[in-house]
Amino acid sequence: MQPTRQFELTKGGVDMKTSRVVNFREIMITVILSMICGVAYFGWGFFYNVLDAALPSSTELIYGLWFVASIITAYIVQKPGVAMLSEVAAAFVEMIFGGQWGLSTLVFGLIQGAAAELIFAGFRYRSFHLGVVVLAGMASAAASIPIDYYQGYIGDLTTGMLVLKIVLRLLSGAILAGVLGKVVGDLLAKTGVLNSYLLVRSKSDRKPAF
Amino acid sequence: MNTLTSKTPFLASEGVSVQFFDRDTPVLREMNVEIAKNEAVLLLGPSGSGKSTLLQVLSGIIPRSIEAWFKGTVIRPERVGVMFQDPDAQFCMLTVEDEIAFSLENRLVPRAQMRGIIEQVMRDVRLEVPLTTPIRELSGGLKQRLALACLLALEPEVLFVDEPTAQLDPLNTQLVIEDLRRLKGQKTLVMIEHKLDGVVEWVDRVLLFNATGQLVAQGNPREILRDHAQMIREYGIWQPKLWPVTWDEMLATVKHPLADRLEHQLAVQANSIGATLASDGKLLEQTQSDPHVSKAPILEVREASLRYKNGHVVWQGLNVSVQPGEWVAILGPNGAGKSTFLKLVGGLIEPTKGQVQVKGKTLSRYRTPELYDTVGFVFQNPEHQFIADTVFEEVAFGGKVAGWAQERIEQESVQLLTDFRLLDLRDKNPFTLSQGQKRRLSVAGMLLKRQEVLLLDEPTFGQDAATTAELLQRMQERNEAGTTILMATHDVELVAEYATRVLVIGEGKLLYDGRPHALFQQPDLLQRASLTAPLAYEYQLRRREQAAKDQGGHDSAKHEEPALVGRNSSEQKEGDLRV
Amino acid sequence: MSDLYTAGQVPSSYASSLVVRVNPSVKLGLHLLCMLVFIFVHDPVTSCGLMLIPMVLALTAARIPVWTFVKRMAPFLLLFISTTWILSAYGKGETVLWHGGWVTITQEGLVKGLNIGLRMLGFVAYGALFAMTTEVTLLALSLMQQCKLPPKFGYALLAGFRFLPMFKEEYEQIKSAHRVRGVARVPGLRGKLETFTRYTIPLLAQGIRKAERVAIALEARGFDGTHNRTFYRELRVGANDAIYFSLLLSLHLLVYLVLTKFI
Repeated sequence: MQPTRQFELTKGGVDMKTSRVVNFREIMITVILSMICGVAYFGWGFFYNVLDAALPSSTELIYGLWFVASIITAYIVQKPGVAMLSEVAAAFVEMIFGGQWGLSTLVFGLIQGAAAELIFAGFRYRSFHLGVVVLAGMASAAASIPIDYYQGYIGDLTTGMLVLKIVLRLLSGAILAGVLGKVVGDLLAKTGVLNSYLLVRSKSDRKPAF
Repeated sequence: MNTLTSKTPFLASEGVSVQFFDRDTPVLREMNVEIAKNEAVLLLGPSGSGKSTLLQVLSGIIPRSIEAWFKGTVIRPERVGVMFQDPDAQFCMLTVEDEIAFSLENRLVPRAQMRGIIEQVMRDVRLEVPLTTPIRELSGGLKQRLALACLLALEPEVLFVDEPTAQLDPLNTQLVIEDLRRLKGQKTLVMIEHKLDGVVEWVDRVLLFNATGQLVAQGNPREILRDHAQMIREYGIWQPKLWPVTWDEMLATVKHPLADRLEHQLAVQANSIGATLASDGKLLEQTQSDPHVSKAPILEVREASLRYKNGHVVWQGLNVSVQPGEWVAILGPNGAGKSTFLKLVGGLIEPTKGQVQVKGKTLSRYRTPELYDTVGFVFQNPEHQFIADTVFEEVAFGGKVAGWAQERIEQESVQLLTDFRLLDLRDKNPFTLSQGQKRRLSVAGMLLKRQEVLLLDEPTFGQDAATTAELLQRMQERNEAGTTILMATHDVELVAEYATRVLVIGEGKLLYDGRPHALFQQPDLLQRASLTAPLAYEYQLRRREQAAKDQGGHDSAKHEEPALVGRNSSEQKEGDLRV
Repeated sequence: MSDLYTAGQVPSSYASSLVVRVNPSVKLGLHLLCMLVFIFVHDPVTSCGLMLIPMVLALTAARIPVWTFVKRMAPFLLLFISTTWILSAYGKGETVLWHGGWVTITQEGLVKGLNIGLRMLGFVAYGALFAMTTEVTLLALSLMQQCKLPPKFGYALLAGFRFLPMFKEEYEQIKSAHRVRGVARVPGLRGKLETFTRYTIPLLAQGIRKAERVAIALEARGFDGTHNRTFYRELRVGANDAIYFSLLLSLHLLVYLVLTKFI
């Protein structure tokens, strides 16, 4: 016999504020969307190889897709940490499936995600306009260059070649990550599945009717 | 967390209002509900009535996991568990033991005690698989029992249950419901369940909600279902098939009205071939025919086998020949390859051996567009078919691709939208529709081209009574107009009523091919296929058993628990649940 | 590509090998360290020696069947060739070996190319060795227990990973459904672009729904995402890890010795 029983009491008022801290539901959708992207990344690697062998440097144009996960998820959730978590989750899948960059995928993911994260943080996670997401895509692209340099893939190219690569990569980050990420987010919002996320909620001025 | 006085209710909501961020109106308004310890309560209402929301509020999911505007007070015991609908979306680990351990880890149970508890809860739900079994190898029914085991590991005082059988075949539905029933009196149960059979018999109280989220009535099930029968029917809630009548009562009474009705059904089904039994002599002639004679078949499967790369044989040696105008139901346990069979016939997979012909021409010789002008396919998940941004475009798509004139597209699409009560929604995004609307749209979208053969993969799955009746009505119209229908389903009542022929797929082969009437008189076969008999046939079986018993001079007054036809005897073992 | 259903699981044939039993976090750290070594190496011969280490380990200490490992590595030979070729053909350099059109192969370029190509192969080999010998469940548990990764991320990764096969099935279903509906018959580039979104949007929408359900279900089971929990499987750092560390260290020393003494 228990003399007293434990109860939980939930009391709530209508003024519940939107927390800026990610909750588990948001972590979960970030991880799953990113992992689906991760599988796509893995496939993209093979496409990249074929293109690379056939027409070197043209691959820079498709490089940007590798940053799209963080843009999609950050654009949807609009909270700190999401962009970074996203790229790491995508890299995790890519690595386990045996992607061509092996363990360095994780390093790439971490740094590229962090770069996008910095941009969003710079706008205090309040602005997610086209300009901001494009900038975030380009930041990821920019961040990938030093890693490539240290791994030695591009450090020894002729200057002209190097500049061309960097320009193309930034462009690709802007379009295939930034623009595409926003487009996918907006299309998803239309299906109604994002109604409880900030992407949709921040545009509505609804008030509780009680 | 608070320690409250003994006067506080066990489980209650006091003045709770909830409004989701994407809605203009609250789902719940000033809701007051009180539930006593060890009570079994059923929440009943149409979709959108807020019963799920109430369950989420009482269990604490709102506002912990689902954010919403929330006002009021909820009192609940510290330990509760929630069982959900989707068997695939409640786990995070690879194996059975790790998954149950996850519950224990959350409760800070010391590691040394875990193994014992895991084994105990598995016994409680009769989950007789090795501890290290990967979860993905479990069937839907076993996954739901694992989910229950994971909840029992939480030692909850209240168990919330949100339609756990919605995705299960008939036999597994019964098993899960039985598990819950055995918990009655030991745990407080708060349930949402659409299939009332096997549930209304034993719950203590029913709370009935209307479409606007108000609690209309509460009380014992018999009164609620009697006093609000009209409303319940209008809301499209599935009525229990037998209850409040019991088998004993029916068998003991001479000329019981339900018995009469069932006898009539039986007579009708025995003499004919299903729904088209009517006075329609022409159809009767077609469908009663032996597959080996008569006209050229519209569809023919010869010696078809399918084996996956990993060596798993889905089925082998299938021979099926379908005449134009037949309504063929495909039955079988979850995972037996019913959908796969439809895909074979629809040219979406190739058999490893054998061949399929549509209208006398082998599938591989068809061009894709040509094939799908003849064969339509309604997929299990409506969303998979959606390709347009609006409901109208979704239906009109087929006409556009086929290059029809604009007026014709407009006219025929509008007609279909009207038939399926979707016209008001014509400019909405298909993904934003309700479950029932999505299903109706997916069927409507497939009918525009008037294909001669229509393949449907569990079209009534998870639908309420109203949507199901409506869909069947539309399909029957098509069937009467000459469309051949092949439909995978779990719903035996539907098969008894509509199908002219049944294929039972199981154990890697065709277990049965013939009229529904003959199938439902074979309890052994039904059990092998994880099926239950339709009510009328179960009645017939019990009637016969009773007659045999009476002849044997046994005491006919002997009370018998309503046993279920087709239940696996090994799973009938008693397993007492822990308090 | 490894099978979606078995990715992240170690086949029983070599489940008891040394490398499999090394603590996943330790293994991850050690492999990243070994990869770091490559960055300081600038001649192809040493790179080749270093590259052989993970390969030898895969076949001995990990007991991965030769054929399985070869199959996993084969696609990357193409990458090796292309990487080497690009740097040889477009890299900076003085000593011209061959010249034709706008391609100039220099000795420096070739050396760089070979070095980077081999480095890349080494990275891939360490990655493959890691992925093929590590249970995803144990990796996540170890990241939570040894590296203090918050469980809300650890279990989210695990739950997400479990879902991947389901998405493959979803994708196949969508493909079939679109075939029946004649989506591929919509002409033009616009049609192709629309096809892309028609595939991805339902897939991602379903992903979001499943993710929400699993998040709610796990939280309803008392999961709070913090370290305030016990573990059914407790992973430790122990003798196996020390042995593996010594093994890697001695192999690196061996490569160093062989190359300095005999070449």
